[in-house]
Amino acid sequence: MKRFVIFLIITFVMTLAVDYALARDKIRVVTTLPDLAALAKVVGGDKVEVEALVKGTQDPHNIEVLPSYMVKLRNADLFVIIGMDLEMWAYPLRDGSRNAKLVMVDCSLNIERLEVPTYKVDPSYGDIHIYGNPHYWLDPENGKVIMASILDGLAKVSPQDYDYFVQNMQAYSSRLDEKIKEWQEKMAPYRGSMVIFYHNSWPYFARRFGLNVVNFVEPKPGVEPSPSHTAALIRQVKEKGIKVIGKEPFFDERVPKLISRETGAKVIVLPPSVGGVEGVNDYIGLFDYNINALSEALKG
Amino acid sequence: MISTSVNATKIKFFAVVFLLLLSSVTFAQQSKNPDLSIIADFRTFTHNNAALANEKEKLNLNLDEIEMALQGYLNPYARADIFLAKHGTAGEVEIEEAYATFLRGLPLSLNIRAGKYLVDFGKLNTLHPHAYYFVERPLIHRLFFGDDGFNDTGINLSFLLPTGSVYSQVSLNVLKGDFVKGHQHAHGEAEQQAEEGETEKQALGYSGRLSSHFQVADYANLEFGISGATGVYDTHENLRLYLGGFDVKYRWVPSRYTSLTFQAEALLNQRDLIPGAHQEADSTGAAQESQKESVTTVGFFAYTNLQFRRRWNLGGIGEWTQAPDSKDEKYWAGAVFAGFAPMEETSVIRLLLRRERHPNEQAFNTALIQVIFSLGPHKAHVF
Repeated sequence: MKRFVIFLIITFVMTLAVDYALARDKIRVVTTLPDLAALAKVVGGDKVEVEALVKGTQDPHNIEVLPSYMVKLRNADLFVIIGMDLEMWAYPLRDGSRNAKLVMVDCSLNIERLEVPTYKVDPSYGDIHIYGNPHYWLDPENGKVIMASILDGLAKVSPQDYDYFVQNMQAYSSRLDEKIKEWQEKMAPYRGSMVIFYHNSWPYFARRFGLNVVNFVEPKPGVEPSPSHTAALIRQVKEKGIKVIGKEPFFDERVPKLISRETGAKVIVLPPSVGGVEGVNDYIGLFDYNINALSEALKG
Repeated sequence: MISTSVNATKIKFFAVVFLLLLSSVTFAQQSKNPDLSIIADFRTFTHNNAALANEKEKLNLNLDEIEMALQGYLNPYARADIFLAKHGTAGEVEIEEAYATFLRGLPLSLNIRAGKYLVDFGKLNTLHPHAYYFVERPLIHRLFFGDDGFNDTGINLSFLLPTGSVYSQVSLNVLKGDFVKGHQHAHGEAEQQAEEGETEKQALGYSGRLSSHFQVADYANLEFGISGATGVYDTHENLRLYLGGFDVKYRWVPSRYTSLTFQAEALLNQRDLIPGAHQEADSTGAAQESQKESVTTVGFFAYTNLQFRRRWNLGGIGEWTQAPDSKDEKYWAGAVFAGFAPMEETSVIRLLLRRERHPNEQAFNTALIQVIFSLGPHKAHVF
């Protein structure tokens, strides 16, 4: 019995020691979305170890509060979220992690927000986000604002590496500037083109690249498409000659395909996050993919 | 001498708990309104249970419960959750749960909960029944703990074990001991005692749970738990009970349109009895004095639920249990259910077809439609 107790104590102490040693090796960053993880890797460079809780193929609105996520946050130094109530599940995870030292960064704080309701919001409007549309990472200019928020968080955790983080951020911002110019040139011929998206995830993207979003497959945010709404969409697509219906990978394709069959409009899968489709592995790659897919579809 | 030592130990214990609580509540103050939610559970049903003759083979309509939840952070270190419930249209408003949880600022990643709450004995008990796919609280909960489940007033300490990527939690409760009255409560004896002005001395109860959660694949999660509880359910005769529980939950969620849940719980009950006391108690409820003996009984339930469209689900549940104080009294039930949630959890319609048998009674069937509607902020789903 005595030996067993000594064994348990040694195991416990060794586990703590291993945890401590690992924690000191690199800054552990956990993000909600893979897009934030991609940008945290850029800013943190080789000083950070980054993990995203949500996969690019998952709908970030509906994520279960899994204890395995709490374990990841328990060992983390920095927790980066989109905010604006996109991840309602992030707060119970933070509480469940019991990590008193965890620094939490809400990247939405310095974002110029779109679609902030100016009326009394209630569930009859669907799943409206009361702080505005939270899909702001889909404007690459906002990628720079997100990096600045991540920089603030990393500087709190590791102030001695501040200059290194700033250097990484500036280098990537310059690259982003070049790419934004390239993407805008590529989309210039299609400025003002009418498109339909499944969910209202794209207002920031549409503003940056001049798309005219005329409707959604969902009649209201978070509400499944009804037959009457689908019929109205079919009429609208025919009347206005809309060529493209954009759909996130995690939404059902049946209704978009039905509209496509009836109208000839093309359904394209547009990942709103890194990892949403194969080959999209970083933040710039996400826009490369979506810009290519949209410009090809609008050209046709 | 021994008594003085015990009292000193008790005082030290309460002093430590008080200081731990105080360390959290003396920090920042905020004055924001809490989140307010209201959930109503309306049911229409028919059955052929001869024991409930006034409902038998009729179409019954019932507002089964209205629950109001007030929830929010007290300060950066603690939050409070209060659930008030009214059962039926004639019942009184009850405090279903009212507790504060001290989340941060405590050593060893300790969490402390104090108040009245659903005790984490097993996995399902802490969930409010309106969230059950299968509508009714399982037989083992109703028989062993009463209609409100394992609900008691007390203090809970929980901490995480350093088990790497596996989430393992140990939870310990010191309880007022109300839960031991569950069985009598279900049989109406507690109300009878209250009406007769009898006040029985209570003894503290204790419970604990060890649970481990594993992510077994990208979209699949598994949790195991073992629970234990003890209390004195008859202080006059010093009759103690011991409860042991085992639970498992598996959930696979490959997409927002599909999920599969399997959950099972088993309960082992051992309690002191005075032979023949529950049949031969006199009018005052006092049992004939004789030598105590022990009875051991078991029970379980298992259900599976398949969400096959975003808004649709169906499944089945099977239950079997012995009575808390008799191996010979056996209950069983089986049900199939289907649900339709037009818009997440703000409104849910469930259909339940159930067959159930109680000891010395004919088996009976129930057909039930439940309509749940809720106002207020949506909470994230906990595994």
